[in-house]
Amino acid sequence: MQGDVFGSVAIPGVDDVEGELGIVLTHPCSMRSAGGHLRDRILLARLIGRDPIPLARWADGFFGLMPLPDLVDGGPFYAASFEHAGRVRSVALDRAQRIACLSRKGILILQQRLIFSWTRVEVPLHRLSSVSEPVLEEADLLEEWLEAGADAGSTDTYAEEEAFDRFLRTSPSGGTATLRDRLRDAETRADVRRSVRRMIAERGAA
Amino acid sequence: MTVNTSPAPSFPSREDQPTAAHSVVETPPPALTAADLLPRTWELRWNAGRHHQEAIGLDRLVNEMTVLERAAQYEHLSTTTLLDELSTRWGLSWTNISRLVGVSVPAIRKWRQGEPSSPQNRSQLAQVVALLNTLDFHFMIEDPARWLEIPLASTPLTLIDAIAARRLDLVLDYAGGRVDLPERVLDRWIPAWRERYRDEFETFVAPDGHRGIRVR
Repeated sequence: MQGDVFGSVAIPGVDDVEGELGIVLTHPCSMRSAGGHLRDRILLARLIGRDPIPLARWADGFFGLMPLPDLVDGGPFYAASFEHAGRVRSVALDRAQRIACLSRKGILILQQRLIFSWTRVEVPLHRLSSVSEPVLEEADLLEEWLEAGADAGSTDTYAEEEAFDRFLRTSPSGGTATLRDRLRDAETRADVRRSVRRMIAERGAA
Repeated sequence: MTVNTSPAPSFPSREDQPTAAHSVVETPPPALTAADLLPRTWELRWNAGRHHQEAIGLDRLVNEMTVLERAAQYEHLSTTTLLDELSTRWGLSWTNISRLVGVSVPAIRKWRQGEPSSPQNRSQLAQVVALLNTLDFHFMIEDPARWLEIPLASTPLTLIDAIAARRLDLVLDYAGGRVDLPERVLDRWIPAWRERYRDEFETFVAPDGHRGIRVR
């Protein structure tokens, strides 16, 4: 997910700064291809240790950085450097090496700083939220699906992702709108969650 | 030609008649002026206003007590059962459950995996379950989770945000119809909401099917 921080990650083309931590920059909309699988390569930025940036100054400058205070207990003050970014093979990202993930608000702040750094356009957080909400919801449900699969003994993440994607492409009650379409609408989102969780329970019971 | 053959009506003699009302000379009541009526009008208005306010206060108290009394019934349930009720039955997201309870998403994840929660947090969870049940059974709101998640007046704010901001009173007022429009909820909650959420952007669906943002 965008904003996940991984340790021990090599970022191609980023060899002029020290460090081994990287943060995912790719937007959730662009992270997965057909079948719901992670794309072969995703964009990561290097985290650099530096002097702390007080919260009161986040809005005044340092626009090329995403401050990440208290990331590591007893560690330095880290910030993601947007200019030190490169495409990393997704298979190289080990879940066991994921040391942190951002909250939803954190993801939106990352997006806002990234957009401003690259375009000088300031987009309000609530606008970013309205765009990202459905994909973040889908990512949460996929995570539940995969966890339930793993708990039930499945080791084939690829097949689980495909099964989830297939399920989201079904239309409940013979309608034309798929579950994924209905996830985009706040009015039907709770219903989609119930459907997915019922399916997870059915698969677990089978 | 017809002839009326019925007998002529007979009348009692004057001696048999009681004193007729019309024969009593009435003294007309003194004419009231507006100034005479004004104090009584004020008094009635003041009393009506006071009773109205008392009724509103009592109604709010009853609504909040209904939630708390229901919550007391659920507090003996396990944390995983309460979470299951919120996620599977009502369809809330883990993010929203964490916001309603006032803990982090990782904390909720640990509880789902069987780690114990504090009595205070379990009590909070029970209150959220009680709220959803109250919205359903008491206020007859179909699909309370959906109702709580609908953006208010085209802002990103929802009733879940109001609860997270400790404005359950607004949610119950809205559920009970005392506040009739989402705009009124926002007016009472964030008076400057119109200025805060006014911007030059709009959201649209891009050709790839995903949403995008563009300048209006």
